[in-house]
Formats: sequence, structure tokens, C-alpha cells
Amino acid sequence: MADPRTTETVIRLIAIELDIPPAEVRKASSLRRDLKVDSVAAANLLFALEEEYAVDLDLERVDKLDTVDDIATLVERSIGSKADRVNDGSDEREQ
Amino acid sequence: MNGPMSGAVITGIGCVTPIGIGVDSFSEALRHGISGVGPLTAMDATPYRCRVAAEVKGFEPLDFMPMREARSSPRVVQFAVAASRLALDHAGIRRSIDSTRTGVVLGTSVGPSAYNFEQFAVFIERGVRRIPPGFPAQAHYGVLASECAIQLDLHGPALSVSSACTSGADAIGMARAMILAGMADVVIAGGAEAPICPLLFAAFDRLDMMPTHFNDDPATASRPFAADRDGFVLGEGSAVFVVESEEHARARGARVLAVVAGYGATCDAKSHFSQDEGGDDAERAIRLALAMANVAPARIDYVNAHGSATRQNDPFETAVFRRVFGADAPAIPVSSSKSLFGHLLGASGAVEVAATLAAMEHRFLPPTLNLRARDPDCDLDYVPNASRPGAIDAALSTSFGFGSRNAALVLKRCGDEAHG
Repeated sequence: MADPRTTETVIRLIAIELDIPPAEVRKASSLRRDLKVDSVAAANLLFALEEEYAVDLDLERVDKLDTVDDIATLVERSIGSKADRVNDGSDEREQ
Repeated sequence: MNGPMSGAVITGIGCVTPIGIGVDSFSEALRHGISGVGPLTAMDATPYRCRVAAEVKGFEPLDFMPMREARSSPRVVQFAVAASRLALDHAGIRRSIDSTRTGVVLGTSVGPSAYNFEQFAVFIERGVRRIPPGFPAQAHYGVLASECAIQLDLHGPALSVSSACTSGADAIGMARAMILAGMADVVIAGGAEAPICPLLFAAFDRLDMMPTHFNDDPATASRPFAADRDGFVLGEGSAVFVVESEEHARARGARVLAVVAGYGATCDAKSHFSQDEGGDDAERAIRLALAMANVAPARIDYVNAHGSATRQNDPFETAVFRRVFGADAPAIPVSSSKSLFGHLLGASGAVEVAATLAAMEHRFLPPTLNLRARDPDCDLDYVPNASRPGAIDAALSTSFGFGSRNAALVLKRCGDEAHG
């Protein structure tokens, strides 16, 4: 389960993208079923998260995600793996 | 409505300009001759010889659109949407119109170019993944009209007009034509521009088209018709109008600000830049607009000139006015509002119509600021330096643009002898 702060950020960005109140977005909300996120909105959301956290998200895995919590978890893993790469010197682009 | 009208009328004005946001503050600044020209602050000014601009200050996109659009849309689109909302509010018809009979026609010269250049720089510096997915939907000129249609829920034709610095005037002329052709009852029409970006600024700077001698006193930099004029001050912003059929306006009891009585558009078809020195096609555009309006030249009470303050334009335009108005020319007040808010390129024709309508409604003649050194080739009454009282029943607004385009609009006050 993702850190509440990450989840809160994801919810904020989803609310902006869908132009709905953040209260309508819950951790367990399904992006497609509950929030009706289409492919354009999904791409915009992905871009907003990448800008927010300065990471590249794995597009293959994004397609398999369903809930808000899934997105937040992916973001945290990406932040973690980026930190690992920076620490071991393998991600030169970020240095 | 007080008297006979013909065809397409203006019932609402929305302004987002360097001299004010909203028609009331715009009109006040115009009347009091308060310049909107200042130091160039939108970007680093040091590489340029010209370091002044007419920027829109205090514009908050979130006042006019949701966060999603405010984050993703180019500044020019934000201006257009904001001015359109203000125009609809001013006309008092935000929700009560048939949206399927309401169109949008917006003029712009460089459209979202500044945004596109910015994204290109990001692409070069940071790569493929940093281009916003929404970029293709924002990068084309048509986005001005479509974004207004989307945000205002308007389902008629949604067209962007791009004809350089005549775009705004052409959009209003096209709106008139569409209404008279029965294509729409209401058209949200005008112009928007946000050209203040490094590449375009560099281009105009290199062309020596912008003033370089007044960087220390920006408010005096725009000097149309003056002997010491030094080029146009680049400006940004938008003016949008609610143009509707006379019948539609009458049926809803609207307050009519003016009739869009005549429109003339021509092209010299010679230069990529300026007008042909002979001025035949420029004169013809004005005469076409006057004929369409059924207004004799002598009945024009006020001219809002293109008056760009370039060396070439102002004596050229003066000579054209002398040809059109003949012996009456010295008695007809002509002013350039670019002396206050700079040159908004494709939005200039629209903002200058807003100035003309403000003058018509509040019975004053807008000034040409910074006109002290007289040029013998610019020898008309340019309402120098301060506005003065004056009633306007019929007005002419001229626009000239790159590609040697010419556009003229004739606006008539409602319910007076100007009709007929």
C-alpha cells in the first residue's frame, strides 16, 4: 500500500485532470470503471505524475493498473528505483 | 433597441488587454490615456535592442477556466476563452442561447506559436517523454475557436481565422457574413494573441520593426503618426464580441452597442510584408466597407487607424485616408490606440473595435499618445495626447497586415441618424 502522501498527490492530479472534486476520488476507485478515465486522460495523468515526481513511469505496467492505489504504488516504486540508480551511479541522466 | 438596424449587431464586449481586463477598466484607461506599455518582463530582455512590451498584467487563468485547462492550454487560448466569457457576461446571454445556433470565429496571427516554440525547446532539451500528451490538440491555430466552443458549450461553426494583423477585423467581418447568411444567430467573434516569446521577439527586433530609443521610458515608446516614431510595441491580449442577428438581439431585449454595418477585405498581392505604396487596395477595402454600410465617407465621425507607428505605415495610411475622405479628411478625427496598448498583431483589429465601441458608448474620442513631434506627411487630426469629448455615430476601423492584406470595418451606433 502506498504512502498516504503519495496517494493524496495522485488523487489531486486525477481530480485536476477529470475536473472533479478530490473527494470524488478514493484510494480504491477504479480508474476506468469508477472514474471513466479514457486513454487521453490516462496519458495526461501519467505525464502530470512524471512531471510531479521527475520520474519516467513504465508504460507497460501503467496499462495493467486499475485503482488509484495501484498508481500511487507504481509511482513509489519508480521513485525508489530511480533513487537506487542514482545511488549506484547507473542513471547518468539524472546526475 | 431604439431604431432601425441592419443585420449583425454587437451586444457584448470582452477585453483582456494591456490596459485592462474587462470592458469597464479598458474603457477608463482608454479615456484617460493610460498606457499599457512597460518594460519587457515576460522573458529576459537583455538580448534585444527593444526592451519594451505591452503585457497583460494580473491575468489569472483560473478565474475563467478549470485547473486542467489552465495548466494545459497556451496563453493565447487562455486569453481567448477569458475574453469570450467576459463578452457573453457583458451581453447577458451566458446560458439562455441556443448553442446549436451559436458559433465562434476568432482571429490570430501567430496563434499558439509561442507555446509550440516552448515545447520544442523542452523536446530538444529533455526528450520525447517530456512532451505533454495534449500537445497536438493545443499546437494548431484552430484551437482558439474549438477551445472556446468546448469551454462555453457552443455547438455552431468553430473557426479560427489567421490573416496576420488583419485577423481580428476579418473574424468580425466573417461573423457578420455568417449571421447574414443564416449560418448562425450568434457568433462569438474577435481576436487573441500572445506573441511575446524569444523567437518572435528576436524576429521583429531583427527586422527593426520595434522601438529601440525609449527603453528607459516605455510608456512613451509607442508613437503612432509622430515624426520620432520608432516602430510598434509588441502587445498581447484579446478582445471578443458577441455578434448576433438583429432579430435575435431584438427578441431577447438585448442592449445593442453597435451595428457591424460594413466590412471590406483586399490584398495587394505583392509584398510579404507591407502595403503597396500606391495604396489602391487599401483604399478599396475602406470603400468596400463604406459601400456595404451604405455610409458616405463624409458621414464617418471617427477613424480608429491601424497606426502601427512604423516608418512606412503611418504616412501611407494618412495618404489613403486623404484619398477616401478628400477635403473632409482634416476634419475627421483619426487615432491610433496602439499608442496605449501596443500592437496585438492578429488581435489588434478586435481590440481596436473594442476601443471604437467604448468611445461610441461613452462619447469620447480616444487619444493618440506620445504625439508631439509632428511629421509633415502625417497631417490629420490624430486626437493628440489626450482624449476629448465627441459623439460618434459612424466609425471606421482599419487594419493592415503582413502579406499586404487590408481590412476595414464600419461600425454604426444604434438608433440614430447613422442608420439609413
